[in-house]
Amino acid sequence: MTQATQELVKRLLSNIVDPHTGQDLVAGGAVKGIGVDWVRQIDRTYDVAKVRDTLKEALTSPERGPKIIVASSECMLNKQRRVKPLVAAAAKRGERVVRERFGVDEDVCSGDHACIRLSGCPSLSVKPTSDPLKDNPVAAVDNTCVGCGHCGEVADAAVLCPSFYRADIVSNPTAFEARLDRIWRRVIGALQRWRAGRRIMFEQEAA
Amino acid sequence: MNVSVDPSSIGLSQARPITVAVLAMGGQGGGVLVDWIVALAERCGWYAQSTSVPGVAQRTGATIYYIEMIAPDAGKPDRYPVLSLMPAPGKVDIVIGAELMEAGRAILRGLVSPDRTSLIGSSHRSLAVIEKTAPGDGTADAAQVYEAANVAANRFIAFDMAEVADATGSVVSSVLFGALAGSGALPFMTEDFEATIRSAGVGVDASLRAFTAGRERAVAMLKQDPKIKPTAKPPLAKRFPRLEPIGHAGYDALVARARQMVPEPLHGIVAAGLQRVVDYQDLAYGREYLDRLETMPRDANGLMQAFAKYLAVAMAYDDVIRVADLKTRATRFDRVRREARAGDDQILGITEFFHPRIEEIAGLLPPSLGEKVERSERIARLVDRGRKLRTTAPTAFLMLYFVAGLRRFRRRTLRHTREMRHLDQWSQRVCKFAASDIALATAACEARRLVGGYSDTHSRGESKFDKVMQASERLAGRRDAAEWIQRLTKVALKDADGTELDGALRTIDTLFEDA
Repeated sequence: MTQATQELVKRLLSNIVDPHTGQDLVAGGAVKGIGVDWVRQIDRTYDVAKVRDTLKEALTSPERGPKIIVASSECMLNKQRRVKPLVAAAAKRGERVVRERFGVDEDVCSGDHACIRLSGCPSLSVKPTSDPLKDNPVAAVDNTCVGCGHCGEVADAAVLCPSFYRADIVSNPTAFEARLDRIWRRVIGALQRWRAGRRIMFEQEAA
Repeated sequence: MNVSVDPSSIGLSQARPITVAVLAMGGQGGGVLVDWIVALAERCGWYAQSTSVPGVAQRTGATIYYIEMIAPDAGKPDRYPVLSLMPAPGKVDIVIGAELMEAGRAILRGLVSPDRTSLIGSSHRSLAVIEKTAPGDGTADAAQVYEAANVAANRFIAFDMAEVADATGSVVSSVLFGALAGSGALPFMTEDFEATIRSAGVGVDASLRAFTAGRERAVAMLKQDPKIKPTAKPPLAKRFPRLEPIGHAGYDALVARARQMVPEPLHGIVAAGLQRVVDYQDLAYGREYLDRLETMPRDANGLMQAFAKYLAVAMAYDDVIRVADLKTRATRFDRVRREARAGDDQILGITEFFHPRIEEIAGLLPPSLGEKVERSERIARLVDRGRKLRTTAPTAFLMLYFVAGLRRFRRRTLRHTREMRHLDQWSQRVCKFAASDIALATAACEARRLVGGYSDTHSRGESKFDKVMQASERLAGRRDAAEWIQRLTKVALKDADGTELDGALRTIDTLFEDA
């Protein structure tokens, strides 16, 4: 590529909104327009497995010439800063809003920290555990979590462990939703009680 | 010829700016704090300038903000100062670390000097990446930072500001701003600090509460002994259950038997182990636990302690059944609700991230069938996929509930057969060592902590453990055998791929070359 095309590609890839028309420049199509044949567009870059596989494909496929992956998710920190006040206001107005956050099941986590070695998220840290049978501190997601889901995706893509969960917290649910939730909770609760009744309960669990 | 020129003789000002460096990680509110400090100086009629050099979430270091501020020269109101863009070692008046190790890093960078620097830091820890990635416990020693800070800084103010922030419903930066006011390092009035917060106009009440609390703590701190000692919170105590009857005939019988078997100091660990295996499987499994404990010599408390612990961990291995069981419990649902801070009027949905491999599925089957399934690539392709299950919805819940119910058949599964074989080899080896070398037997017990995790992490851990066990066979009979096994366990915990362990094993090879 000449320097001029490189410059053009760079500008297109930074997802600039055209100042005159206000339209998003569709980077993928534009890149094709200047003669790059191998283009992949990923709109959800938090899908770790997909990004990994696309990179692998780019590095191994036989085509010659430049290959371009357009990875265009919004940074989650950025999104949170933008969306958080809007969501808080909507919740206050009584509208239905969903908040997401991730967590680690303390008793499923074995404290090997494989997730942290792969993820590097500042919200994913370790904390001491009171379990006398565990030597290492366990993984924990602190309250700075913005719910991007990268940790869970990594644990899944790298086949790490089942400790991660995502919690969706719905404020101001619809009446139908709330009723359905009550029913399921009653059913699930009954099943849980039935099994708990057949298990020997020790005090720390009852507490 | 060099001539020293007095700057004032050619009209240059002698006035020196006040210099402030702030070290914070992204999201810790360093930017807000810096904006406040600049606004404060300007509110008081000073010139102020701030710069920042970003870091990346402790991978490459924290963001360093730098502020210079100077009062206008009353005699020459039309002249503007030229301020520097970056901190110079030995020339910083105030260093603020938003976290303890950041304060430590500022010392390492030479920003803190004994003749002039006030060092203000929060003593809470937000662990750095290298502390978190160690497979074992890699947390750094806070006491070293305190020791260095007491020597390196002119004044050192540190307390747990994250705790104060939590209590006042604000963030660490407000508390730091308060501590800065309380330190008296800036020539501005408390009212000016408060007015700055008010005019910023975001979360004013909470910020002011945190500010005041921070200021008062700093003032109180300066009145005390100038050398601060770490107010380290005691490490979270392990909660040992009591080895006592709970009113369940079957379990109480096991308790009575265990109490006769082991002396008082071991009651805690044996109770923890017994409860874990009974909770994991059933009373018969608890009986088996005690049977296995009985094979150990009773006179060595240290050995018994280690064996009781790792035997329980080995017996209660993490399999699909266990995970499904833990994930579907009511206590777990409650805990998630608490951790997610979901209110009673809010609906909580929980989604699990599972990625079972063919090994996990085959492990649930009887040994002969399981081994066949494990070799089938067709089934492997079918299974090997990430699955997200919404446990709070009926379908996924029932599925996991059903898998948890497979507990009854666990003893007949392939995974159980393999785990028990591995466990038997280990416990027989420990028994063998115990006959001649109690210390070595204990070390061989403690090496079991290398085994843990799921999937690949589990296999890697197990292979490390097996290497250490092989080494123990070679080393048995040497006087320093136990020390070597302890050393091997320690280095094996340092990295994930076992490079350091392999290095240490090569050192052991040299021991035998000489002989």
